[in-house]
Amino acid sequence: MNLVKKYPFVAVLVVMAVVFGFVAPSFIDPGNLSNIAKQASLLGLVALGMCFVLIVGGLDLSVGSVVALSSVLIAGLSATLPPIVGIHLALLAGIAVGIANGVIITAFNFQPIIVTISSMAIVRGIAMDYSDSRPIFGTLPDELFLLADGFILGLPVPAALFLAACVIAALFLSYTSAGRQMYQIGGNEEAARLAGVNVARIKVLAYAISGFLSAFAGLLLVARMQSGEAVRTGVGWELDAIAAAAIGGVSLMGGKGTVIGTLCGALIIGMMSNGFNLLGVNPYWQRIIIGIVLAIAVASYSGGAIMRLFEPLFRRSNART
Amino acid sequence: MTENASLQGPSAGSAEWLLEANDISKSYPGVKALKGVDFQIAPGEVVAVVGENGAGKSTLMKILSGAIKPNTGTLFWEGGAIEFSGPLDAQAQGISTIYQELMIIPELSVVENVFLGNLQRRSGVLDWKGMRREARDILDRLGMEASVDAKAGDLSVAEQQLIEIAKSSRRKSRLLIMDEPTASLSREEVDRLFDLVRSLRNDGIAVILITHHLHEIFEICDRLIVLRDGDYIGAAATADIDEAKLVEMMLGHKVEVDESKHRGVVHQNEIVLEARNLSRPPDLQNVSLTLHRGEVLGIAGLMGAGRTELVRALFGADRISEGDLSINGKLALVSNPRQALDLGLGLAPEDRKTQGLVLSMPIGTNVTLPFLGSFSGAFGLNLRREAKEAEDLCRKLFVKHAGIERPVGTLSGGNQQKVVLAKLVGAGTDIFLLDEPTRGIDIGAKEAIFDLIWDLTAQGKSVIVISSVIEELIRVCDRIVCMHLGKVTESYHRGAFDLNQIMLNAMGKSADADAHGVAR
Repeated sequence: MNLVKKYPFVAVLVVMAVVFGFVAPSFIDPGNLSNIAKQASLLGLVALGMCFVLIVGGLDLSVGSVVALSSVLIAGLSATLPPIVGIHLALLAGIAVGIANGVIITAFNFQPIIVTISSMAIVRGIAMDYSDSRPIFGTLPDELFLLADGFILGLPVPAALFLAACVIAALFLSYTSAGRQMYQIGGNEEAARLAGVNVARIKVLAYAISGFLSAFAGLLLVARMQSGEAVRTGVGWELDAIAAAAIGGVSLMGGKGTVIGTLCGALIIGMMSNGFNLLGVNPYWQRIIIGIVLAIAVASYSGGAIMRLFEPLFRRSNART
Repeated sequence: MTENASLQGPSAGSAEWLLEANDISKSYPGVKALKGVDFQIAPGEVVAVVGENGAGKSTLMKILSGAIKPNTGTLFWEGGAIEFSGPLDAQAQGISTIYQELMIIPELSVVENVFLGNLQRRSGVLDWKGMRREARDILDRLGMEASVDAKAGDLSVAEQQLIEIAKSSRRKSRLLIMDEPTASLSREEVDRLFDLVRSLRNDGIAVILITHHLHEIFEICDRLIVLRDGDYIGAAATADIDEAKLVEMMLGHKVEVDESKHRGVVHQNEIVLEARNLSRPPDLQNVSLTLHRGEVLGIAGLMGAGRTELVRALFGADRISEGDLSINGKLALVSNPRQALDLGLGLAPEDRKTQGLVLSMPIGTNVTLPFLGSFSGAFGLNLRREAKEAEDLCRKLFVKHAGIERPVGTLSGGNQQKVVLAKLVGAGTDIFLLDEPTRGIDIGAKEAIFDLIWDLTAQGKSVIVISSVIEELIRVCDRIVCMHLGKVTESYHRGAFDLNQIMLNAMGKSADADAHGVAR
């Protein structure tokens, strides 16, 4: 029961998987599961970056645009540079956007939502200009596509990479000063500053991580699409990423959030859209249902009243095991 | 005297009492917050509810103001049993509560705050003219000069409190509950507030007062009731009891005060901190200050006198425009808190909740916040060593806790303050800057903080302490300086402490009488 209270999203995840498994048997096909894993991993990487930014009490709406920029840069640069160089440049571009966000927010004490709304527009504009709003195919090497279709230890490569990122992120957050200081800043920025924490540096770091992980998601997207595209890529991901983090218990007020929660949040969203597709639920209703799930999640974290409805359910499942 | 039967007054449900509570109990999971508490208040009476933090005062107030419901027991309003469905219900009956954390919206004007939740309309649109006039009327009666169009956040705490009182008087309150209204007021502001309470009393309004300053109880209250650990200890008329007896009732034992044994030695020839001509207009003007090793230096002054600004400037939390600072004889550049910490300075900020602690985080991680880096190894933070260190510090400072992994926000005010001090001790602080360390904490915790200050100086540490309660400074300090309008006005050595002199000086009324007038 304590575990359910601590990690309600894990329980939601399990219940959801079981329900989908029953109503849509093809849901638990290995092929479909690996599909879910692949899809959830891309959003998951972006949500993981968002998790860092939310923990320091910030917000990053530019993530979707960074995914797009990264995808066109990787594809476009591959025409003239060795792909590995292009990939590094794209990741650096993502980090640069993050640093720019963080520096502007901390140096001028601007509101994160305004700063990143503008960088969302600017970065998307740069990506569209660079690609001339057309898909870029470039000369991508076949090895790159392994990032989308290969398997490591039985896991699809994107899922394996996402999991690795999660492990690193979780270790970083609890076993380094910088990671812990992120929670302190989000929990009480003034107290952290007076305790000698370099608030600006840590915040910039959080935005840089978000930029990097978004650019990395862009890389995996290029591998899957075998091209880069700037107009539709990553549109709305910032909201999905925030939703995933929020479903996973990350507080938008800062100072609270876990990697495992974000991971589960991304999986929940991924499973929902996949499951609903299998069931033939139309996309509009999918959005509606995702919205409702988000509302329930938020209500349960702030009040717990909704979660109590689930309690008998978990008591029984606990008793069985 | 404490079980004086005559004070129990008329039997349950008597119409003589305005509000009466009989045998009230309230428990939360695992805690019994109140056990069989009785309470009565008559119209035009001022009653103090006294007890240490955690005694159940707030719980009782919440029950009386309808915010929570008791598990057992009955409330009577003017002799009739009543059950409040919520705070609004109690308000409708005429019970207003002014919480310690004022319910003021800082961005809104005074008049909007006075009419909060009750904006007046006239033919469909807001009647600003009428509301302004009414607010002005009420505030005039309360003796508040600030404009009704001023932003509430720009006013002093005392003025914000008056806004709250104005709100309640608009609602024609018959019972006013005030939770530590004097906690952040200067002596003058307290006097004005008490004048107001007296005039409310003359109008037949009943007032319940919670305060940690016992002398205030004797100054203003007719009766008091004492709670301890949720138990009802007794009631008394203030005329029938003295402070020592009251403290004994609160603590359950006598307090022995032996001041001589604690005090460390001041090393007069060793100056650990010297500030020269620190300026940051208009808050600080040419402030010079020296602190010796082993010394406790007190800073007296009104709120806004520049006390807080001074220690924040020393700590590098705010920039200064002029002046310089030497630590241990060496010129020091302190432009941010990190540098100050590295030089051995430590600040316990004015407001521990918003500046001193990360309330959502565990006790242990709060303790290690300023020196987290020292647990870093090749494989990241050594969490076990960190927890042990935090545990040790908590033990050393007598922090009462149910595990260092619990959120620091669950601790009482006194224990929270000890956690703030544990942070400083753990960071290896040599020069402690304590800004109102005793605000809002109870006697037992206060004594513990004084003991700690003396312990520190005995170890050769030095302390600067700010307090609005000059009696406290006189007890704990070796030297006291007064600040007024950003300047150091006077300095007194132990032995030459004179309460009245220091108080007058802190209010800006030096030997030349009222030449400066009163601050703000």
